Amino acid sequence: MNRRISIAVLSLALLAGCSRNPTAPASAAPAPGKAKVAVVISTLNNPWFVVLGDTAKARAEELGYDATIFNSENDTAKEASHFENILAGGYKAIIFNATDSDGSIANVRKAKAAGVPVFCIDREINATDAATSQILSDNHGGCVALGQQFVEALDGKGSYVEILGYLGDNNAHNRSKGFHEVVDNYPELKMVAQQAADFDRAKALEVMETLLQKHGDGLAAVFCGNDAMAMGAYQALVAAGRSDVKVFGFDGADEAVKLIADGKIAATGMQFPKTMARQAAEYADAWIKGKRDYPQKVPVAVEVVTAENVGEYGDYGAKSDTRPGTN
Amino acid sequence: MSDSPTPRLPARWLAASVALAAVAGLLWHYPLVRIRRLDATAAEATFDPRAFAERHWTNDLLPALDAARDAGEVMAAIRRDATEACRSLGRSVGLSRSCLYLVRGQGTIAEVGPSGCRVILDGDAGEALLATGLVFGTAIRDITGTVDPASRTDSRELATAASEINRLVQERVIAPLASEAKAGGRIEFVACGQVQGTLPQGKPWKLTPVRITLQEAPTASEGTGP
Repeated sequence: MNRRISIAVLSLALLAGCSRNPTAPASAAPAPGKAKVAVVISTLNNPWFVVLGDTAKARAEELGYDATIFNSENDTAKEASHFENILAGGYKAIIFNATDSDGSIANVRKAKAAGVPVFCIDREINATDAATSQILSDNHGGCVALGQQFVEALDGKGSYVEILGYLGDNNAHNRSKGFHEVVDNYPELKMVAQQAADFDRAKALEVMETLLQKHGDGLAAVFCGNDAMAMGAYQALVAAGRSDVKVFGFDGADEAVKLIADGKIAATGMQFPKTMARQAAEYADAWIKGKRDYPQKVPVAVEVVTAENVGEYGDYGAKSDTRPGTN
Repeated sequence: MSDSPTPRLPARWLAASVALAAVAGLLWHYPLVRIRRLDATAAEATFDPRAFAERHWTNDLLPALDAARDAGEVMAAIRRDATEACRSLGRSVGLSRSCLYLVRGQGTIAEVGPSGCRVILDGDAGEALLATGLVFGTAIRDITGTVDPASRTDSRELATAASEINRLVQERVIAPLASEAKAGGRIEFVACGQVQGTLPQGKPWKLTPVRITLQEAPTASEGTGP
């Protein structure tokens, strides 16, 4: 009998140990009686994703939940481990920013099988029968509009480089495709190099430094798949004294919007991370209260921010946003 | 009673054989491992954006044109209250702030150039600038509301479909408009407009035509009446 009790105690201790999450930020113990909501974010190594996660957490807390952010650090194995901990930890819903459009599907299916709804934000998973709903920026449409702005700013001619995001994410492809759908119609616009920097600022800085050495002469512009990379490219250009090269980003990060206002970079695409995060938290709340009917995909249009309209934007959104859940 | 097992062997072998056959039969019908796509059927795997665009053009877009609203009325409604205009006369996609409108109008062509075909709408209803250049984006794909964003597992496919639909508009509507429209001529059109916020004052509304009927400008000898 004593042996059985010892084994049971040991098992419970092991389970408790397994459910601790080394990459989740420290947070207070859940308040008794409060249901738990998990916010799983692909990376917190980029202010845009920090805003995405913090907003989802804050809105879930406003709605009366105990919310915890889990950082996947762009690692699908870490993400899988988070899901196991979340499912073992009794969370009622998951707000999920996927690391990989294909590689993250299994985690979502696991949650679904356990009866825990998953609400994807910003990054799509390539399945329509796994997540409860996916709230996604129209990356393709946004980059079509950004491509038109690019053509206008360069008057349809000049050489440029493209810095791509993480290729395992559909967003990287959709952005590049949308951009090229426009610019490739202008034969005097010549792409002299295209290289991935995984949505990472430091990598983009290095990539831009290398590209400047090889293709710097006469370079007119750089198109980056997100603002973090645009900031990295911008830093490299400043260091090289190349303020003549026009920088285009995507995301609507505050730093990028401020640099547009200062005339330092040309344009970005505003993705409205706060709108997506709040909507996901509200969907999770509605699920917990009994709602079951959700649109599988909810597109969110991206808006181009330029020197002309920059006054309308800031704080990761538009100043006069009247959508539900926005301030 | 004999303690020799020899006579029982055939029976055991027979039983074992039957059991094995039964297990083999079960595994044949219910294999432990099945290999199949988790998220797509075979038909989904071969997405043909051109065929999708043609079907959409014929089955969704053309039938929807008859329901287009009067361009002048829509413009006035947007200027009065853009949110209410979108709710009652347009459609927005998902959580987007921009609104799509399908409008019809008729008027006199003021000028035709690379930036578009400028039309003075009848009845002092305002001006429209019909695209004569390249068409981009998802507005034409989304104006009917019949394309479900969740109809494909990978949104890149619907992005490609949007490009193909734009290509059809380019070939079938915009190319003839650009080459045949003449200043002074008459035009009837159905077009798609996208508005974020409200319409800019003093500028024509930029529209992408999806159906046009042109009428040549009357010659001097025909006159325009007293």
